[in-house]
Amino acid sequence: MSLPFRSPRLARRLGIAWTALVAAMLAAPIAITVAGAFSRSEWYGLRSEGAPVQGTAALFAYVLGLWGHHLLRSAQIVAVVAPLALLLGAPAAYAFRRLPFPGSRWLEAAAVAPLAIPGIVLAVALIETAGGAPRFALLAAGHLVYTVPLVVRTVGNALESHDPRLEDAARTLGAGWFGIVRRLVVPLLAPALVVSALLVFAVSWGEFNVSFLLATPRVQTFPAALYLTYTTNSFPVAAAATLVFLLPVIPVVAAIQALGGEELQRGAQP
Amino acid sequence: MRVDLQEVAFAYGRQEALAAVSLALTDGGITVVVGPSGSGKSTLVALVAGLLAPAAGRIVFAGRDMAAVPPEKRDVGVVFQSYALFPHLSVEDNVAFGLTTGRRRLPRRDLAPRVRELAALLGLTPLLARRPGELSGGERQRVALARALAPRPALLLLDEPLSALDASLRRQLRTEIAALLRRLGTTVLYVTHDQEEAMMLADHLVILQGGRVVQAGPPLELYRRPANAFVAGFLGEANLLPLAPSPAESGQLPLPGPGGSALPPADAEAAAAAAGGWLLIRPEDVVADERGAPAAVLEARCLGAFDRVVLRLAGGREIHAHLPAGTGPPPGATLRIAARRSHVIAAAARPRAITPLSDFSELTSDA
Repeated sequence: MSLPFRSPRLARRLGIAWTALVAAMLAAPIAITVAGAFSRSEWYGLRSEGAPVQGTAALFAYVLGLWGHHLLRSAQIVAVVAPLALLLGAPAAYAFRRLPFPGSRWLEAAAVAPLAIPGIVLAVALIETAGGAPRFALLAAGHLVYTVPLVVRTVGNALESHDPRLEDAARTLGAGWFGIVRRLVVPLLAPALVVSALLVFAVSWGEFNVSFLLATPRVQTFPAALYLTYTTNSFPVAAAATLVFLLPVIPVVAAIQALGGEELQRGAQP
Repeated sequence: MRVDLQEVAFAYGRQEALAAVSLALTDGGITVVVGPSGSGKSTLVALVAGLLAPAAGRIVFAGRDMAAVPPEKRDVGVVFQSYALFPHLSVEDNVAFGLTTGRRRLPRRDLAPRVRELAALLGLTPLLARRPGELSGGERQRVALARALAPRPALLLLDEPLSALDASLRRQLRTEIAALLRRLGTTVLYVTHDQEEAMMLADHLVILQGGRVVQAGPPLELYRRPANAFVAGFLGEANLLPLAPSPAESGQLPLPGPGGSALPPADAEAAAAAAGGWLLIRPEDVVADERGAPAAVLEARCLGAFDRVVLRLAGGREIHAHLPAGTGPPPGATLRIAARRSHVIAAAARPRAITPLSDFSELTSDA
């Protein structure tokens, strides 16, 4: 489909120009940040003596020294949240789509609804209900609330594209419950499960609202820690930290695009 | 394997799908269940396969009640209407699926020969490495059949296996499947809405309407002696001439027999008893006869194999006739006709929700 432009060539050029402009607007801040991280200008860290440090390597070493353990904390959270979100979300999605029961549609809507709840509300609710729980568990729970719906959506949509009679066929061919899951359901849903896992990673890694409110000085994810020190650091430090934070996300986003751009788009809609 | 269904009932919520269906599948025979859409055919297949549990009644395989036996232990093969081929597996792995799991698992060394045997049987040998997505409709159908047959099931269920194919392919595959099933000698339950397919395949034909068995028997018996007007109209083109409501008048049949003779006395008697019922005359049983009843020719078309002629009897009733090709008189002419064979359907045999007579012309005209 195409709009009836009088000059297709002009239309194409306009199209290219427009998308280039949009892309530039979106990419510019990141580009400036990257440039900032590698700028050679002298900068000052938090050190009380205020001694100048010079060079990119020193800058990154400083950043890792300051935020390294928060980076590790973020990785730990993701490592816990991603498998849990899949284990909770995928079977739920299967139940909603393949074993519907009275009210299952409402329940599915409820399972996806947290995507629309502001993080601050959720964080307060979590502290209210389970404030005494270990902070790490509370953080993981907060991330799960935002990531399980993504899994439910992505896997549910993938299920929709497969004939529900496949499982019936496998049963009549002699496969039991375990055989059907192992030989049919998991392989068929593999792309959706991988995309889900990547989505969960991207969301959990970058989650700020809940993480910020639930953070304690000892248990902080990287984005929260980054925020707390942003204001007191020079631009190159902030830029370098942002870059370190951004690096793992780039291959993930690329993989999501390559594997299932469509699935992502449908899955991400609450 | 002999299979008995005894008073089997099923409902989807409050929507009744099958009501007290009883039928017997003879060992090694092909039983075809035919009925319009919504008559409960697919439900019947799912019940026999064990994918649904009957609300009432018993399903018995070779004397054994199947109530507690799940589908994976029933020793059935199913060809689904949508084929339900595993999209992530090659044709080879699809066919081998039933041989690699459950009770019918084969030792590895026997697996490949059996798959090759089925591939050869169904002409799939060049396609073994392909995925279902790369196959045509007819090829998918064959893979579905090969996959269902691979574990040598005691009972093969086919749920409208040809309905997704176009007409010419359907005709071709119908012939192939008929030959294959007869050669294999498996007990078969075949479900379809296509009466031609049903007549062609069935040893035993069951007519299902609104979740009930209307009539069951050999195909020709059902064709010639349908239990009611619905069966008559469903199995081919039918002239259904209403009989007079009073016994005395209903004995006077609208068409004479050949040579001006009365129709078989049994028919006349039955007609008297069936006051208010119908007289069924198949179009191919209407013949030109010098001593027959005069009828005006309204329309005549040569269809190659025969002439399809629409006539109007003196009483105003229309009647369709299939006359030998090239013998149909032109419209406007008068032709004397007789009925070579007829069958009386009693008024009481009308099922509760019968299709009105006026609809039969539509129903049968494209048969």
